[in-house]
Amino acid sequence: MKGLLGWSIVAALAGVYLAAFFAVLHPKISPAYKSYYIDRTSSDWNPEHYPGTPEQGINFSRKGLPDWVHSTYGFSVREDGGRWTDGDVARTPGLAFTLRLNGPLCLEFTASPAPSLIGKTIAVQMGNETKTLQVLPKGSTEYLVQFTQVQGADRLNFLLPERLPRESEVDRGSGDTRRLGLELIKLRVLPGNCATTAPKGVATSTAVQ
Amino acid sequence: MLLTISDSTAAKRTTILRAAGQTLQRYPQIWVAIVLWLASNVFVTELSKFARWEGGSSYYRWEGSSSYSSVDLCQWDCGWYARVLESGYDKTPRVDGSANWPFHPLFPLTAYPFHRWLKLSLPISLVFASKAALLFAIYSFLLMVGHQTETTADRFMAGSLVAFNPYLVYAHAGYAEPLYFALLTFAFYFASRGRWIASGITGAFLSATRMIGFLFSLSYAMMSLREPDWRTGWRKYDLNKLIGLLLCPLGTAIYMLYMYHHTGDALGQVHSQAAWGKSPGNPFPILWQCLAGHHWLRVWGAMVVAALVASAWLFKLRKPELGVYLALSVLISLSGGYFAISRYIWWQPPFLYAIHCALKRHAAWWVIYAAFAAGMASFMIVEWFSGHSFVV
Repeated sequence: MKGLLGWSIVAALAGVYLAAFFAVLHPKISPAYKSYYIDRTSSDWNPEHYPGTPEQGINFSRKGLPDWVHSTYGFSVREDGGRWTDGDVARTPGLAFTLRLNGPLCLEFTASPAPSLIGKTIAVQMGNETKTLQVLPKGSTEYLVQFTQVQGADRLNFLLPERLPRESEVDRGSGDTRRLGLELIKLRVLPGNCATTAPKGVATSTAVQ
Repeated sequence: MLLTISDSTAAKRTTILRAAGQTLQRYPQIWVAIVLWLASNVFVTELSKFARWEGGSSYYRWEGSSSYSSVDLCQWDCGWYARVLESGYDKTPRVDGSANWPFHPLFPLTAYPFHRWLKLSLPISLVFASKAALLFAIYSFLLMVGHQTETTADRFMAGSLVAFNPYLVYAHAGYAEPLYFALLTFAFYFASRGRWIASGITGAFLSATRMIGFLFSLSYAMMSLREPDWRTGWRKYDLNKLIGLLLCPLGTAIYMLYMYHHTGDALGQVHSQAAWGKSPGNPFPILWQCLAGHHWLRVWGAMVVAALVASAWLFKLRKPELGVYLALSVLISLSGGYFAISRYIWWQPPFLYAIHCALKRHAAWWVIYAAFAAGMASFMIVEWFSGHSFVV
């Protein structure tokens, strides 16, 4: 194939690749699509929202998210028990709120640690305040964390140790290769002090910093 | 009069039979491929029967268009291809975030005639399409290794590497593997014979079958640059080589443009892997993770190492185009995770080519290889019908 026809084919094919290149550089996608599929900053695709308040909290095994939670990040898939944080999905797991939280707040959450996290110190961050706590060596534990004066918090981050080992590295028989941290089961954000807002009969399992 | 017509029909039939016989004699790869393909089908059908006695599943059963039984021949990716064939590509992701975008269009298109024209069900159409592609895969491999196979026995041995692949089940289960294998082998074959346009067109079809197929462009470029004419000035340069090269990734480019038009994301086929927790990463930590793991992880890790060793050996055999393709395709596949890496490796023509060369040099190893291949193929078929997820 020689001459004009050949070069015309070359030009046409080059045009297809230029068009494909343009398409890659200029995607027509929603912010939600970008955060879930491309940036991987969200752990849920287009989650359904159900009515709920920070006081009512979030049940991690329930499908969808409450109104006050915009999105979650750094979590693995939803399981019957709750949702595990996965270091491979995001370094810092957490929740993004649809509102800004202020004032003294009590964070109450129930979680189970991965074996590699037992006894370690982790931190939770809400707005301008960061609190550390010790992970207890038992299964499902309720933690209460007192934030004294939060200002405009639109996120809650769990600051876990870097490079958590994979489950398959901890348990040689396991085929699970996620970098598990905490399995979150329930979480609530209550206004005021933990001592007054915590329901009766619930022990404060961690020291509040 | 009647006798004359009868005589002429008989004569015509004899002529056709003679011509067919001459063709088969002239191209022995054809009948060797057909025999091996039939034997492969008998093998899978028989083993499936044993597995079905245990699992209570059926060979082709598929419970309607929205339900994918986990115990039939058409399962896992076959179900996704069925969705493509049934209702085209998803406009937006499903509620759980998954989409059928990673499943490239050429393989479901080959099942189209079975489904629309012959009115076969979706799973049967896809299963038949993959089985038909297997015939071409065997034939193409026989052409690829043609210079090393002089006798019929040689051809049977070479063809059996494809027909009795350790991961044979994927050639019969409505997967794109045999079509991918056949197209890639034909593309290498045409390029090795200087048929650049044919190689480029085959490469275009290849990249419309699996995304990784675009890598053939690199092998193609290496093969075409090996010829001296490009050094003698552009005026003497064979333009067909350039057109062939530009054709190679055309399937991927067109599919990307379609995805852009249909969904707004030209790389939707890559991004949608997020729903399965897959994201492109460094393949070497994943390889280490496999080797440090236990059970299947370590087996898959060993297979990746074997593929990389085979790739290096292909360089030594002066087949760098095969070595580069094998190494890059394995590493790119591994970068998305180790699940399914075994079938990606075992359905790579350069890997089987390297095995063929090794067995050609060390004939005694055939016994060991045959035992491994038969055992693994049988085990995978039984596991396939048992509903284990590691076979995905």
